[in-house]
Amino acid sequence: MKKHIFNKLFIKQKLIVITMISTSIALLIACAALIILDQINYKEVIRRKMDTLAEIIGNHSTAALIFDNEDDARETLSILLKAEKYILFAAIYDKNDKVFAKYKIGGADIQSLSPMPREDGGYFQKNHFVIYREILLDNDKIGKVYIQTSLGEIRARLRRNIIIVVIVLLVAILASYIMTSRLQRVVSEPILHLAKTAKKVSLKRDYSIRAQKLSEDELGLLTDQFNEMLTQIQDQNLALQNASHELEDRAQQLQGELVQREQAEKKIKASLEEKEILLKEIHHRVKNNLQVISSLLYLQSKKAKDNESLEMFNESQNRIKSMALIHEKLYKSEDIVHIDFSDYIGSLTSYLIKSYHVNAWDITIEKEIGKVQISIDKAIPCGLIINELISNSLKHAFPDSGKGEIKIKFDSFDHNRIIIQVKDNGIGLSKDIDIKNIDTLGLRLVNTLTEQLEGVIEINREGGTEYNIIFNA
Amino acid sequence: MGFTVYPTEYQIKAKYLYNFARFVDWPEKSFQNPDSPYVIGIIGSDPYGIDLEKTVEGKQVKNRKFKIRRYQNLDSLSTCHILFIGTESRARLLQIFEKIKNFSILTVGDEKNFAKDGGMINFVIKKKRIRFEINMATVKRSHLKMSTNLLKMAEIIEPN
Repeated sequence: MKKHIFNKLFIKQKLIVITMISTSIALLIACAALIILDQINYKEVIRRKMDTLAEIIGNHSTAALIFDNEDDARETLSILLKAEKYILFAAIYDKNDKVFAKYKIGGADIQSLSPMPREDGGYFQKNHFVIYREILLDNDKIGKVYIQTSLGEIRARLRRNIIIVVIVLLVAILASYIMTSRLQRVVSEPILHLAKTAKKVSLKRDYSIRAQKLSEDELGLLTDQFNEMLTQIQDQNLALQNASHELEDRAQQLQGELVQREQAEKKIKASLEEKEILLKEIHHRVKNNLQVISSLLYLQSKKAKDNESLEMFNESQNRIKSMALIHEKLYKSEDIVHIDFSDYIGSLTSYLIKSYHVNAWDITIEKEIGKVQISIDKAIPCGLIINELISNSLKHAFPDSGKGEIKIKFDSFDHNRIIIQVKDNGIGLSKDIDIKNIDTLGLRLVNTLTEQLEGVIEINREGGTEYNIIFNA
Repeated sequence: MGFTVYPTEYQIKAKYLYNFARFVDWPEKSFQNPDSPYVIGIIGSDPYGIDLEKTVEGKQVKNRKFKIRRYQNLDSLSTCHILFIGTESRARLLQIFEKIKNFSILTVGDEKNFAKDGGMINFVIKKKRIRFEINMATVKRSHLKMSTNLLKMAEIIEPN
């Protein structure tokens, strides 16, 4: 509890309290020691004084004892003891140890006067000091002196000393308070200054403030370290600030770069779109031109004199159409570079059926088209190959009934290998036809185009005709 | 001790007589040797008898013993230190004083006017007790030194 209160005191109050308590305790111990010493000394003084007094009484009583003059002895006692106010009782014994003369004042303890005197010497009793002393004359024991003194004197001295000590203590505490109040500043002021500085720093968040060094002791050291700490904080703050500035600059720069990039991207996108539009336009025009050529061939074919020529026109028209279809699919597709082949083959087959006047119920065309996208430089030869092979099947495979089945497969496998398969269940190729050495334009074209695709061609003649063309995408 | 024997007047006086030696200092020349005895002389009528010898027997004061001498004539008085003068006529008394005036002899008597007439210590009875008168002038003249302890008990007598 006391400690609790003490802890709540300010440092300067603590210093004052500590100093005053130490001063008081030290003084108290010193004063107590002095008083005890004084009491001991004073007892010795009383003993010696009483001894001397007893000796004097003895010396002055010799004649009275020798010449049996009690009156003189009594007078001697009263003359010598009148001034001694603490002496309560005194007596002279003769050499037969009988009381010869007495002296007493009020309040004397007569009980303490033994009828027979004790051994020589002084004795401290509870409230008295008593002394016995032989009276000698020429080495003859002629009597004894007894003195009883009250210890009032020693008590009075104790009381007086205690009063003095209390006054000294009060004055010393007051002086110590005044001194400490002034001197504590030496210790407390640097601490208070430091605390005030720390508060100011934290309130203002100003780390450029420095504590003033007021002493060269540990507090001075503390102040130096505090200032050093502030310097470090300041340096760190500055470094942080610089870093943050740098980061901001960098962010701004990056932002600028981003904007630039976005703009560039937009530009690229715009130009790309432009190019796409241009490309579509070109495909459109190529298709239109091919359309015009096809129309011109058609008009020309009207003038053809024989079936063979008509067929040649017709075939040429189909070949152009198959190319035009590619261009058409391209400019209609989302992707200007690749075309969707299932869509293309569908369009191509329905066109060819119409072109060869085949009854769609007689010939069933089965398509197995994978999701394969190929670029335009491969799409054109592929289109032409498929055109030639389907045309061949339609023209030659089913000469009698005119009924049959054509299977078209266009798919990818092994990642980048593409297979074109055209198969019919018709009469099949005659055994003497060598695909590598052929003189019909159609199959020659297929050969040439396969080479162009860097592919291989396989012919299967069982249950009809089956062409397999495999190349890298 | 079944009963108390009260001493007689002269037994007490005898005791006092030798005890005077304790309170009086004689000049050194009064003694032949450091251990020469005190000589107590008696002249005139002798009231002590054998009691005086009994009293001083074995007693010693300041390392000196006591010796009793009874004088019949005045010629050898100078050898004593304490002189008790018994009942004498005044003329005879003055003669004795004249004879010893140049010596340090303590004179003691117990006649009225003894001190007044030139004796040094005179026993008197006061309130039934033996007290004494002292003639300081004669004591001083004889170069004896008397203790104040003794003097303060005595009645000091001025000589005629």
